[in-house]
Amino acid sequence: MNAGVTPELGAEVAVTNIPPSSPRRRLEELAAEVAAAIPGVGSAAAAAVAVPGGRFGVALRLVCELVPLRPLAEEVRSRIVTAASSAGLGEELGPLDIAIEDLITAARGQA
Amino acid sequence: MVLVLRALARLVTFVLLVALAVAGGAAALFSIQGGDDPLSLASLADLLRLPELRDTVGDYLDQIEADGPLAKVTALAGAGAVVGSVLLMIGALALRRERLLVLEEGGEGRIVARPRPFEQLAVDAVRRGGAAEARARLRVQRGGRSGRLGLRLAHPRSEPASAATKRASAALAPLLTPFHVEPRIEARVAEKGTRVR
Repeated sequence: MNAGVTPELGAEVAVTNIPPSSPRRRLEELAAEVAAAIPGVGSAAAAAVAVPGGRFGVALRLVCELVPLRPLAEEVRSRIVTAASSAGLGEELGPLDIAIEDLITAARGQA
Repeated sequence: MVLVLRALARLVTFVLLVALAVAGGAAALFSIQGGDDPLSLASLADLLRLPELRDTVGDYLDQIEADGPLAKVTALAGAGAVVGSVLLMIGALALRRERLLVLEEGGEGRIVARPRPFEQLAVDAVRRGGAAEARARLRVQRGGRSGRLGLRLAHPRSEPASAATKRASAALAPLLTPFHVEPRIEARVAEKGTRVR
């Protein structure tokens, strides 16, 4: 578990001491971009932390639309794993924690 | 412990705010007139017997300055006040960590949800089932692997409460059962003018 990793939704992950091309940074960006592109996901923010074994655990926070949560989260996880493998980051990707933070409802969307 | 301190801090805050509002209102009211008129601050001081209080406090302070049992009691009371203040500060400032409902957990990581989106899904399910209005509150048990969903719904007058409860329970089952969340449903008749889907 990666307690303490709490990226702000919609905000860029403020980690200044990580090179832009580091696996950690690339995993964060990849996870957030892949998740945000999935239908049903309103917005996504990701943070990665090093875990034993030379990997990076990713904590993903999602704001979703009014859809079943677990199938959506499983879809997000599956696509991130696939995308990480395609990007050559499969070995670096550790546990992927997904937190559903909020839902976008019709009433709030109109506001 | 923190829950008790938090509740105590809220109570003390409420009482102090009410006292402050009353004091402010009284000061404003008694500022309308001046001198020794009935609605003057001097009149307010007389009503509150502030001159007598000043004498009493003055005697009390004189006794504290001297050695004796009163000085010791006062010192203990002061220490108690400091401890009480620290406890109230803990109650007011302690961070409350929201419990998350664990939807899935394994070697690949966890999937969790805050109570709010889960409550929104529950309300949506019940409203699609025909309830006029619904409000939900999820209490997640320690560990996040189960919980209890309190749901209040309004149903049409033409429908018995038991039927509305049963319908809501059926609508919620697919959402709640996989996550070991028990529903507690309260049904009441919808007020006139409320649209029922």
